[in-house]
Amino acid sequence: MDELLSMLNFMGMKEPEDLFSDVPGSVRKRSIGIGSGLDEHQVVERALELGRKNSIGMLNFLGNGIYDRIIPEAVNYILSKPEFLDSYTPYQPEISQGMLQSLFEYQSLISDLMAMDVTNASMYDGYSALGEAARMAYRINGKKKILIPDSTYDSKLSVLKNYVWGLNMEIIRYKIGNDGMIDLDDLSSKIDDETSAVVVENPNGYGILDKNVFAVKDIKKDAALIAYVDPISLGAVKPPGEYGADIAVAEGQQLGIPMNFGGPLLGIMSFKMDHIRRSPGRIIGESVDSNGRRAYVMTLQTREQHIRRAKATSNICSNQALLTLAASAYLSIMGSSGLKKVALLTIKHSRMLKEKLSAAGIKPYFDTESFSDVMFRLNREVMEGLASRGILGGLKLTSLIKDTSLRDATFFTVTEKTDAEKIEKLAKALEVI
Amino acid sequence: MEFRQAYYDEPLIKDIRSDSTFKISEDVDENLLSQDLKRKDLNLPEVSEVDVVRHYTRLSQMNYTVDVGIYPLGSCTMKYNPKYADRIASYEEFRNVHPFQPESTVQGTLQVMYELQEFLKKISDMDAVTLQPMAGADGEFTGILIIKKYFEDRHEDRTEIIIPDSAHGTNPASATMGGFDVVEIPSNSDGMVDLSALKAAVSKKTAAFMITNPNTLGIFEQHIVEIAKIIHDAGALLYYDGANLNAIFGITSPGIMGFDIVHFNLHKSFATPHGGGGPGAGPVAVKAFLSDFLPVPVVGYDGRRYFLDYGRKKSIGKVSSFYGSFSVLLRAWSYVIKNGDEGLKNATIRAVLNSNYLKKKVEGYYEVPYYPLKKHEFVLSTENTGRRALDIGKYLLDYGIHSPTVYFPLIVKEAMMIEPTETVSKADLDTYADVLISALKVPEEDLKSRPRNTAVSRIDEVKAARDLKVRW
Repeated sequence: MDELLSMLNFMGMKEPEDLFSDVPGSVRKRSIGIGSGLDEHQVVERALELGRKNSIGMLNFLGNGIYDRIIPEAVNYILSKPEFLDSYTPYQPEISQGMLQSLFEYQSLISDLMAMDVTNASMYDGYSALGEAARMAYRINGKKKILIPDSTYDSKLSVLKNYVWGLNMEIIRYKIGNDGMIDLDDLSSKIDDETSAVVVENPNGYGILDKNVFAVKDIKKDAALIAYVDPISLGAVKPPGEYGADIAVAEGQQLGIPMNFGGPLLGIMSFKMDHIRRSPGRIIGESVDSNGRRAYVMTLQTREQHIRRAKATSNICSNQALLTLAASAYLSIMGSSGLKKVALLTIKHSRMLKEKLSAAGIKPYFDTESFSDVMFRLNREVMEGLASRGILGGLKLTSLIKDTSLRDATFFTVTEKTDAEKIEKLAKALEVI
Repeated sequence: MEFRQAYYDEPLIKDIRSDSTFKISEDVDENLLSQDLKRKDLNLPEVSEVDVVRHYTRLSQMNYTVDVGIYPLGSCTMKYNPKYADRIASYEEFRNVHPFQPESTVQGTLQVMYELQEFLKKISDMDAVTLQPMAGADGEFTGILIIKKYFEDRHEDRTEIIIPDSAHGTNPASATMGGFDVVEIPSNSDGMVDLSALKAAVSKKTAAFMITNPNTLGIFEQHIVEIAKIIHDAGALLYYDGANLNAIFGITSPGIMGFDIVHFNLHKSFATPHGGGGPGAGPVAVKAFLSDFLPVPVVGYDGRRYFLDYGRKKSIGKVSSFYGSFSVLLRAWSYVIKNGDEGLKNATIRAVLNSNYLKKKVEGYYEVPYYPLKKHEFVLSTENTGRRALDIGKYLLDYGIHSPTVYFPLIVKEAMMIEPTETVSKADLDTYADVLISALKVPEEDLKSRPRNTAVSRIDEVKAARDLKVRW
């Protein structure tokens, strides 16, 4: 308090109130009305008290965008370092080389994973990355129609609609066939000279690894190809760069980020080098310092809001820098062999799940290969019943796509963690619900 | 103070060769996947865990953090991030929760979100809150979409958003993303909104006026009530950019001032870590007449249980994948309950005190234009000293203290925008002032050769943009 008074005195003021003489009395606030503060130990106790109202330690068969995967403890450790955690955007590069090199490595690792030329230093989440990709397609070709499959979830579509609303872009749906894959004839018939972009998903909203995605480059005409993919699947599955994608986007939560009730997440966005000046978001470039040492800086900032203002390619400022570090540390610890194993175990488990549930009379919707999310025909509601037995799972497709004609479709999701024993438990529980 | 930052000629992670130590025991057939789905090759690094940890530890030592000193980037509010919040955010009870779990199994999570919504309402004197936007700019975009939907619903064709020339760059960028035309108006000689320019700009095409108060010069817009009247009389809406909220906790609020929509930057005023560039969280609050337009879901409470409420007929839908940056929301919640009414207000008082104190210490040496009393930040110009803001910023780094924001706002030449925040002592402010002043005594060539004590020296930014080496 002495410090406060001496500082006020230095400025010729008597009391703190003098600092606010410019705030008119008519807009002064009396009290916030939250009440008094707590001691630190009380805050922690209160948080734990609320945390314990959540059910934890449940067997998890939920997915459809967020996945319960192995997170090496070293990833959590690296993220907890205050030099990364408690730093700001690297506006002063000379004193921020650690974060800048880490972001450069992220851009490189993800570009390799996607087999794409370039990756930006992150978007908010997968859905907003898709929205930004659609806007970028418009900047590339000036056209206004976006084609997207009818298996895309309502919430993803809603985010996309909001991103392109200001551009008055038109969103057109194309069909997924009875095999769970793109109906190429339907898609082809909907592509015309006004088509700005075709969005493909792999795996798609039904969880299917879709081979027809690879054929879209041959029918898309001049439209941009936007691929929305699962980054874990790329440990084994053909990446967007191998099938002609102009822009590849993904939700990166699976790369070392906890589920956290769905946030914060990591929006991944990669693209062809030709499009870099039309891309949104931060990009880190390599350069040298005045002594010739390798050094990193934010580059192409003339695309960004703090320079270009109303003409910026995007309004994004804060992004998901810390989560890119999670992805980099995760991918580095896993390596190609680890990531491939995680991807293949996921497929192994999805096949196992199909087999076990089929035996219990619950049939998969498609014969086609699934990745994490496996869709079954199941007419009854099982989610609450399973939860009361300590199992999470049984999400209805209707809760993701309200107007779907597949009214009985129900998801159970596997990862590398859901082994035979866990699948057995699920199958047993479903027999009695 | 002597300072030398660590430097390692640290290789890229791909060039560190040690065999992967990661292990999952379960066997899997390498050829499980059919040939037509398989990727050709994948060349991720294969590095042992210890080498990954050492790599990132060495990189971390080449990165400044608020835990080592003042970080006075203007409008960035780099205050100390309390450690209890990190602890709470690490609890498995919160981390290990899936967004599609039945509501009965996530009552604690939903309660945190509900309480935070209520806190934000009380702090801002607004009526309804969405926690969904992922960052400040995303909050702005959400606000812009609400404005768009509101006028669409009223069948009014309003195409313009008015923005002062001192505004954050995200404001015009967000307005444009929503499809609006941006009308920029000049500031007056006090650095405040020029009321006559505002009146001249307002028309039946005006959808909204976006401002922050205090503005980016750190000056409180004293005519805010009149501004609100001009905007509302024209049938338009008033948007509050909450980046500078740390200046007004408990003093005034957007709601009292007459704003219709406000976003909060929880990673600024609410002390959540900025993570080297994110994640943030940008909740949006609105007055009751706009409540039906908020994104869905918001968290509801029926007196017995907490639930995700999708019941908003005119909702703009969704602006991000799920319900917001939960672990950031959780930290902000803990910050609010820790501080309470008095703690929040005291933070504001000290933040404003620190800003004005530092201003007073340096203003005989640097010009500090416009209205003299500042709020949480102030903007000086180095123009009168004959030195460049950039060079002085680099000089500061050599003392182990971070540069202010430079060259912003655009209306001040050779600008340094300084926001000390409340978590800096008088002694640290005195040191900062001393270094700022000593920069003026250093020969200009010397300044141009700064920094020398950081991991690397001045970087060739032109080369970076020309060569575009953006990956290995």
